[in-house]
Amino acid sequence: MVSAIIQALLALALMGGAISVFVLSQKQKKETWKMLLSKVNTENCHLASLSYGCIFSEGLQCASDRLWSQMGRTQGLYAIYANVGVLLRVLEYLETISINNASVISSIVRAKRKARITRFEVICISMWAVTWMYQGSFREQLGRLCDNYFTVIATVSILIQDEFPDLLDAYREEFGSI
Amino acid sequence: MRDLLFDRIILCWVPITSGLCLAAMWKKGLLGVIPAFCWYLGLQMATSAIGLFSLSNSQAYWDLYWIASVFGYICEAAVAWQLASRVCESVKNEMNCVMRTTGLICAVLCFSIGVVSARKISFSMVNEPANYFLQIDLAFDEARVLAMSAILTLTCVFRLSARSIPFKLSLYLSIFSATSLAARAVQEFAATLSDSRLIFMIADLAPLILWCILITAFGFEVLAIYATPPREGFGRTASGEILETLERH
Repeated sequence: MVSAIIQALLALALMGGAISVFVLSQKQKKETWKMLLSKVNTENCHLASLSYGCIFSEGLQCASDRLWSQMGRTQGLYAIYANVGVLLRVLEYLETISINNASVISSIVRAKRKARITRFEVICISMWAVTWMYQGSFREQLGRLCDNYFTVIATVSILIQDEFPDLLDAYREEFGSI
Repeated sequence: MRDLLFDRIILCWVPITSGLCLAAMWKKGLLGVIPAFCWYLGLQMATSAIGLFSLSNSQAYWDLYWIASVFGYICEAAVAWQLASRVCESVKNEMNCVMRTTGLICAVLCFSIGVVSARKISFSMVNEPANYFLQIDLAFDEARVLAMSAILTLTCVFRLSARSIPFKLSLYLSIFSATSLAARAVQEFAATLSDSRLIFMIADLAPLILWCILITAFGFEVLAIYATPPREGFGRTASGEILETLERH
């Protein structure tokens, strides 16, 4: 009887997960550009503190210890994870409105790949962080994560500016300036 | 007699729906996306068709059920592996070896949990070999639920497009796996009741009926939504070249 209850619980958990994923995917189909923009987390991602040495100049120059404290430690990691998730949805949205433009779609596909790698790296780094091992590989990975995060942001920005300039008006309304 | 008629109807439905789904995938050129799934559909078509003819002979039907289940396990394991590879495709080049090792460890872990859990249950109404077989069947069901939970979590981490085939397939297979295990739990519960024949029969047929519905829906979605993807690298924009420079950096 106990095993039947465990089986039922396992089945219910998976069913619940599958249904919630399905509902979320349906909601995602109806998302507008404004709704997506409102989800970008500007408060906690500490972009300003990271961006002084971004990839447009000479790469991330600051030491990993400083970088770790500037990004707000695990809070910053969570913010990066959530923001990249929103950026992935932005890319999804851009893909749906540029359905006939093959070159733009190939750029979007590459950007999505980069964003997924970034999210995966956040999970790996979180595991390192949980074990309190802030040495060697952790520092290397942190630097690579920030590099990738900026690449994703820059990629989406360039894509919007080049191919979807109409969407910038809504962005200005939401955040004031670019 | 009435049970057999119902079984015949379901067994007719399985190859038809599987065939329709396979045809839809073939029409859209998607047979190569998850090849193991196509093999699995083909196997289901074949075994259901043979099962339909051997339904009146219980020994032949039982033998066929054994063989079909063993091949089914192999195919389902291959589907889960290929599905997980597709879901993790973006990061595969970055950390191929790590991903494979993690995947293997997860698969072994899922199956071990299933075996340990299933070994505690004894199906007293059947003889010894059949008891072992039912335990393996249950272990596989539990392992499948755990594996599909992991795959579904990965689809959320990588935020797969709602239109992509791996996303849809993992969603449908998750629903099916959950229903199968729930049906088993209902059967175990029904075994404790005095008159459980009807509940037992419904729980036995429910996953099959759901499978037919899900596979038909999947086939229709493939036909209705999925468009052939654009060729990568066709044409270039200024932003595309800048992006490549950024990636190299």
